[in-house]
Amino acid sequence: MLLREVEYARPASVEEAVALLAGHEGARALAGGQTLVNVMKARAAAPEVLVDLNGLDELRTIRFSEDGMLELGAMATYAQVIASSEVDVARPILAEVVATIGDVQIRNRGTVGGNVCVADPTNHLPPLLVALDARFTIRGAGGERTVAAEDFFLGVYLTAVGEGELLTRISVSPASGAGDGYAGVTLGRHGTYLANAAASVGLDGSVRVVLGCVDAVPVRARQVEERLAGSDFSEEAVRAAVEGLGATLDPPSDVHGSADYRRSLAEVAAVRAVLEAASRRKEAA
Amino acid sequence: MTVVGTPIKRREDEALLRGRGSFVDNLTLPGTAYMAVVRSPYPAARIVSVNLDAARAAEGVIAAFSGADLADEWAGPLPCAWLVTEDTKNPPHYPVAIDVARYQGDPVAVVVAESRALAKDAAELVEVEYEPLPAVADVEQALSDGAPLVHEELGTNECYVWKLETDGIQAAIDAADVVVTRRYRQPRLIPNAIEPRGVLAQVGPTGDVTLWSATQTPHIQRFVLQLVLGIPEAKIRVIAPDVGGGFGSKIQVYGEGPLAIVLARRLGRPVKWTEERSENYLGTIHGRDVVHEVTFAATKEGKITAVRSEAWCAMGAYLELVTPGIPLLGAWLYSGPYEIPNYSVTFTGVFTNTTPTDAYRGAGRPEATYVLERTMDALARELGMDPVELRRKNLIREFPHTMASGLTIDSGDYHASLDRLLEVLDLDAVRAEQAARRERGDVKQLGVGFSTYNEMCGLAPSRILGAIRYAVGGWDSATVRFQPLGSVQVVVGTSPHGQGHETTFAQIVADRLGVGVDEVEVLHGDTAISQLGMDTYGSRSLAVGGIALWQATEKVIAKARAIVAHQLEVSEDDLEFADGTFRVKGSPDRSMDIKAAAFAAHAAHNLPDGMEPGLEETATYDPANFSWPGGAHAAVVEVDTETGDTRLVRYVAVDDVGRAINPMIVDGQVHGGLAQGIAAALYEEGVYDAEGNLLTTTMATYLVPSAAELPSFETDRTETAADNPLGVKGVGETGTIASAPAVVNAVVDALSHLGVTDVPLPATPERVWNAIQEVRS
Repeated sequence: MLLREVEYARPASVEEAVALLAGHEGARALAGGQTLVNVMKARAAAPEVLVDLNGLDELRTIRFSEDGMLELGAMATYAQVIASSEVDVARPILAEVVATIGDVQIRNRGTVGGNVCVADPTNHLPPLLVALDARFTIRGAGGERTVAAEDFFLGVYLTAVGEGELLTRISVSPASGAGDGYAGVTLGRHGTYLANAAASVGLDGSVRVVLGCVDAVPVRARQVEERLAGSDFSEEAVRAAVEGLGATLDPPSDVHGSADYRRSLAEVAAVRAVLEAASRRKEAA
Repeated sequence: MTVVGTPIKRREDEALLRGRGSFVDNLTLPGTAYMAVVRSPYPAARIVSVNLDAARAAEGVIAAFSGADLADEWAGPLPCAWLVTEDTKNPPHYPVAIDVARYQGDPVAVVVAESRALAKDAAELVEVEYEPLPAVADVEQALSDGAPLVHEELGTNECYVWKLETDGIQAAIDAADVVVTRRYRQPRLIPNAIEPRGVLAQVGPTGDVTLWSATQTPHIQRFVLQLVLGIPEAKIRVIAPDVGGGFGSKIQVYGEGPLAIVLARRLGRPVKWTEERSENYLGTIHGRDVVHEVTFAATKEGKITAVRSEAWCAMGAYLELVTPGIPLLGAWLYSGPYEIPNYSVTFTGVFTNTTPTDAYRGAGRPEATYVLERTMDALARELGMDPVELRRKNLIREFPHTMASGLTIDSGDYHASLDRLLEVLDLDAVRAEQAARRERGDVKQLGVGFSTYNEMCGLAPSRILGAIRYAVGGWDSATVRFQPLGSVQVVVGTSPHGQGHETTFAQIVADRLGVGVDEVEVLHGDTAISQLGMDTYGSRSLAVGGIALWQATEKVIAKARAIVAHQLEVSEDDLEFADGTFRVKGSPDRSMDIKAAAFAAHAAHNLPDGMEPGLEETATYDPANFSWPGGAHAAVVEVDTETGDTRLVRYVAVDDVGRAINPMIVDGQVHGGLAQGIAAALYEEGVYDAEGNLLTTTMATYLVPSAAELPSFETDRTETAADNPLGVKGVGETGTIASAPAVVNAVVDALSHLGVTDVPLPATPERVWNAIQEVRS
């Protein structure tokens, strides 16, 4: 492992971490290191200071807030999410999805905060957290602010977390009878996605459908959502609602798949995610 | 007490599993300096200038050199040992390019520093001025008119044309009831040994050289190093310590070895180089990259009458050690396990601006087997015949069998393997499930695919190698040495890098000598200890080296017998040897064990007149024939017809590898081989863009499957004895050779009711989806 020379800091508190990030131009936060360390090995990025968050146990907590929101500390590992009874009770889809990321070693190291702050369009969590209408709490020198999921992802590798700021937690409301679904095609069994979709269907019939991998940021399929308003969520109805979705998208082409293929996959993934979400809603009802 | 045939644990594993293996990168000598290689980012470029000033001024840098700086160091270019025709073009290839870089990754400069990290930092400061040249990466484009020339001075990108043809092939095709012609593209594969390459070079006070190398071929390295450096072989020692996989990619004598030696000599310090993973993708040989056009002719009853294959094979930018010969290793396998009377195979070697190709697990044989077994299914469809029945109808029945192509298969029972396969598979149940899913119109459809195969390995009879212009022989050697107090030292000329030779060879010797398996120590991989050997590749170590070992053991027993006969004052013929003891026939109380004979041999107090002291024998074995494993494989896949996503759900392999010395090691070889063939079928593809840039340079883009992608393999064996004293056949490559066509045949089978007849390699989700779209539109 031949990194460029880098300074390393291991803060003991979130305040200290924020101060370090704010105090050094070119400082980067190190969470599970599953992406950043590889990028540094390839010398595609060379931060001057690495601010290692692994000593910050306060960021690893998974709990319910006073107002009943499920809060995932940004440094909660995938393994923690999988094992969490709070997640299981409130929003089990989160555990189901992160359980398919990488292998055991990656799930022991990788964090939910890292997954979203990298903002890789092929990652597992971005479309899901938009579908669940998650809130992202960001700490900076001036205090805390909260950003809606749709405002969090700004571009490839770009989020609302500004220089000198740190994502501290992600809040998701409990399902309360809503059903969630998730579908897509991965590279190999546990790789990143070629295309993916997440959906959430409320007891009142409200729907959110969000696509990954088809743009720099997760894309809400608003036309599909509108067509599904008041739907019985039969397979025919869902397929009809999704029909034509691909044509509205402008996904990238790369070595793993063409834009046309991703358009088709986005439709298939959307149908499957919505059907799964709707079927689970009924179970919950 | 026999250990042959039992799955004893590998003696190699404890140290490896505890992290106590000794790989090249773990070795450091006092004063070691570290080398970093600067590589061309361009697929083709004239090197206008190389400015090393900034690199030389950087922290910790000892020296930096361009290719021109080092040009006088080479006694000769890096040689190719297999120029397959008289006029095979072999342009000079030096460890560091001098005027022109011809592929992305071609070394253009080198930096030596006090640490590996400092060397890498300084390498980034080397300023090379390039004049980019047009490049070509695709074999077919490289042969088209006006294509950029990889080597301007050759005037062509064609390296050679090699042909093997029986008389009357065209007449046989013309006379056939059914003719099927298919085209296949087998993409580039990147071997990805988990330990990348590495060397550590030391030059002694008399100019003697020691090179520790992550190699499969210490003996071949030594030989080639003399040619490149002009240092006599007798002064060169090559040591392959623990080597973490090779799959053929560590056979070659790469430039970095001689380079490290030259730098060690110039700088007066040991020099070490360890390849990075990303560097490995560019700088280590690739495999495959072949386009085939294959024609089968058959009667309407399904008897195959002729096979004709033409193939265009990428050489890459230069010829590595055996690059042109790789297709030839498959040249006799286009009729496979079938009796086909008319035969024609043509290979055209083609230079492209890409990393050189060379041996990758199977080397030529997976290429042949793939087009053969895919075309068997195509022919079955054409004939309206079940693919298993078509195979059964054409499988060779009697052995030894001389093929139309001229070589003789010593042993086999292909029908037995196929019968056993169908039993283990429970084909009727699989077909019933497939029918039910089709009936219901399930999104996920099931397919089953077959591959009945044989292969030729155990390289090889030296005379045949000579006849096909391979530069050296195919024998191997072994020494068996009794120490005075009865332990046994075995020295072999093969060089394991994961195969478990220490265990397997100890089993053979222990059984034959009647000593404990733990009393047998196996030494290898150091040319100072093992003077003679042809190393490990082509599934040869047991089939060739193991027989040499058997013969050396027999010679030891013969000498011990003479000593015992002398001491017991009986005739040698009156002695029988079993379980480590010589007994006088009819007087079993008169006996002497072999360890006592060993002590007597060393004490030399009472030996037959004229006998030399000591009990040590060496044997060299040159096989009379190749080794011919074979078998029958089946894959069951599930294909998502909406997304093209394909999952392998079952894989059944029934192989005939002759006698299994250690069944666990045999299973391990089969498992690893299958994984690499399945990888080629579904996941792996080295992709160059049209300009010659390698797009798949990490494991995020080049998809090496892990256990998660693979089902639990169902392996079984049928056994026919090979024509050698141990009855053994090679097993290292069978899984890779047989599996890719079985898997792709299964994918096509899953979609055959929709009208799909082909899916290109690898059958990625998009390619499968495309195949479905094509028949639906």
